[in-house]
Amino acid sequence: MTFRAMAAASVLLVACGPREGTVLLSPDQNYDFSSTLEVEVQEIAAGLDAVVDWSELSVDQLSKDIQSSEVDQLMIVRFEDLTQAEVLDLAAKDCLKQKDVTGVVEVFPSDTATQAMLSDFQLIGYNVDPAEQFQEDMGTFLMSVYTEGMAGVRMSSFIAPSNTSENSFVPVTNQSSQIDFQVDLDAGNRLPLDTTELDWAELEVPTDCGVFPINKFDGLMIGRYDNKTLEDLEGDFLKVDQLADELWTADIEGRSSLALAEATNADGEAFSGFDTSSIWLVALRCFTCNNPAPPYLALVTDS
Amino acid sequence: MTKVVFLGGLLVGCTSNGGGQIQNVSWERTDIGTVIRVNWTTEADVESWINFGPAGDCEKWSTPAEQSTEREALLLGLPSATDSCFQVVGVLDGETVKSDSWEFRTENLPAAFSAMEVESLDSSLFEEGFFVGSNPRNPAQVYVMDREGNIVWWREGEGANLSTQMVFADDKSSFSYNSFDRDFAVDNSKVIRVGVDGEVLETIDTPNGHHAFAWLPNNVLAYLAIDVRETDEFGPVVGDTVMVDDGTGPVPLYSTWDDPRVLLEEHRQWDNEFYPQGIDWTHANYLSYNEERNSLTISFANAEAVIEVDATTGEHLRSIGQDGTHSVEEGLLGRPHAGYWTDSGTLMVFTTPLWGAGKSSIGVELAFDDEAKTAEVVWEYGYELGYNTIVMGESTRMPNGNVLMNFGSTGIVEEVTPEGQPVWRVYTATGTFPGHWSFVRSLYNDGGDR
Repeated sequence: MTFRAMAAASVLLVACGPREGTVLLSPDQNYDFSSTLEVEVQEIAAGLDAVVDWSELSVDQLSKDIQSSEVDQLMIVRFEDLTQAEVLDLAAKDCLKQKDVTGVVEVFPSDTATQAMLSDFQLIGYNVDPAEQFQEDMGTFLMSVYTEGMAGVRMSSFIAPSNTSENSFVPVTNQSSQIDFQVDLDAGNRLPLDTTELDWAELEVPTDCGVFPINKFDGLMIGRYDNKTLEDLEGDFLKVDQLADELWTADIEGRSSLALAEATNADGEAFSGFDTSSIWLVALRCFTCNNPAPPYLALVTDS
Repeated sequence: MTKVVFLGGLLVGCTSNGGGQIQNVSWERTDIGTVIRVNWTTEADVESWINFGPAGDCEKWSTPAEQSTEREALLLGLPSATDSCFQVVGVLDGETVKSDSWEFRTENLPAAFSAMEVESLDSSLFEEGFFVGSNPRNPAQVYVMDREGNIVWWREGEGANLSTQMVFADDKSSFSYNSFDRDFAVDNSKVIRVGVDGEVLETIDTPNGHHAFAWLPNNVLAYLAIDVRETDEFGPVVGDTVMVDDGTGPVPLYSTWDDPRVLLEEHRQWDNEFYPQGIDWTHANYLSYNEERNSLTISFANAEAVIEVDATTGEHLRSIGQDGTHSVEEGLLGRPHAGYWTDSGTLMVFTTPLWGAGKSSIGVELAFDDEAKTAEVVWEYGYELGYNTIVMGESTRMPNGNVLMNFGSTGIVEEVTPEGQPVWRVYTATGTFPGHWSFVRSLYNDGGDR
């Protein structure tokens, strides 16, 4: 952790107001991003111990490759008072809350496993009893797939226990869920070309359920794009980091300000400043959020 | 006058001020991003302290006053990522002198912490203070939270381990929390004691330890541990024991295997594979110590019993459930959790009567009649809410007489008056829920305002 540098930055900012080159981040610099989530519904026989199978899964809901061995955790969340549509809406906005949740169970498959029974799911050792806990009219059940060390949900599926179904097989496939998004990179005020330091202690990015918490910003990204248009970047936005001709990053967990020179490229070289010959993006990312889109992203003036 | 000095090293500033009577003021960050250590000297042996608070409100809180020429104090309870300030204050010959004002920004919370949603329903009916607690899993975290929902002290758990409990030492110099394997397959159980400044003071191995621990007098640690024995009828069966460790290593104080009032019989969770070591027989889930009674009280989810044992001898003193010394209303104890004795001799228990899907979890207060050998419900809360808690949960009396209703895996904690009026509520973030929580009015001992 870059303790000393942070201490220095904090003190100087507080004492003297923003230094030359320091930009106080604000929502009006931010881009526009919205997304929709589509999730398939799998009916199963109520009360039956069904099989969950992910052997056919190879692409996740963000169109990224996924191996069976990367299915490290499956979680089923029950929402007693929310419909599937309401769950989808809140999940797409990252606005689900624990008070909406009636129960959570999970399973941690081995690397070679491609199936799990519902009765394998548990909450801190308490196994699911499908006969009691997977009945019709018990609300909405959303199952999500996670990969250890990777932020966000890889795939989702609704499970719907039904008294009229005899199905006992829940496939998780490439079609189980899909995220679509709309982006306007140039929606916000651009950052000055001479920006050398960012301060987000007072940044309040509005969300559909309040304000984005600033402790969730855990990664800074500066991207330079030499031969791309904004439309190119918007069209393949979730790979905006991979599209960069040069990328500088910094771990900003625990921070609320950062000198951009602390960001380094793949060769470990420090960021030295913006210019007008390329498009430049600056983003604060959240690697623990379900939504992979940066909560804050701004373009740089005249770039 | 505001003075801020940047030195490249650990200490951020150092100066002489306060009319010459307060000198050598310096401060440094600690291992906790919101806790600042301040050192200073005074020319004479005067009483001095620190006023501190968010920027613009430097006199909002204060550290305890003390009379000494060499002083050190920790600034506690500041929110994260907050511009803040402090000022050293001294009183000499009746005259108050103050140092320059120092400003700094506290560090931000780790990204793994998610905001909790607080509802202040009637602030006239609750006290200011802090909640000391944990988030057991996904990921494990231990923390101190103020009434506004600000996490003002924190540590992240160890790997995939669970941390179900953190407690504040009586002298308020340290916190202790437990850490044990998520699926109980690996025995890496421990209790970790950490100074308020974040320094790890002690790591105590607690072999086979799980769920809960308690500190007894003279720094003796008591903790729950599984006690696995082979049976002719069922094969390996997991009972529970209370271990005590006075620093020379753990020894058993009490075991369900030696208690004839704990019946070895099948129950609703008999086939559940909670422990890989064998059948989950008793499933102890909480341990509380009562100094006045010199007793330890254990709750057992599967045995559906709450048992009080002598903290010195391990003798079974009284119990409810199964073949308990005192009878309770039939069906009342459903996966009971966390038995606490009140100052008036009643027992607070969290329970889900006739537990199962759709059943309400409630808090009850039980009064014991030693002649009739009964325990009667004299207070209860939660039936009408319909919260169904599967894991954790507790119902504890607070210093002002209110009750902290912790609905465990539902992610809801409420403070309610004795009349059952909710006055404060918090919701945890999705996928997380509270472990054990306790309330403290202040983070300081012997004065100080915060």
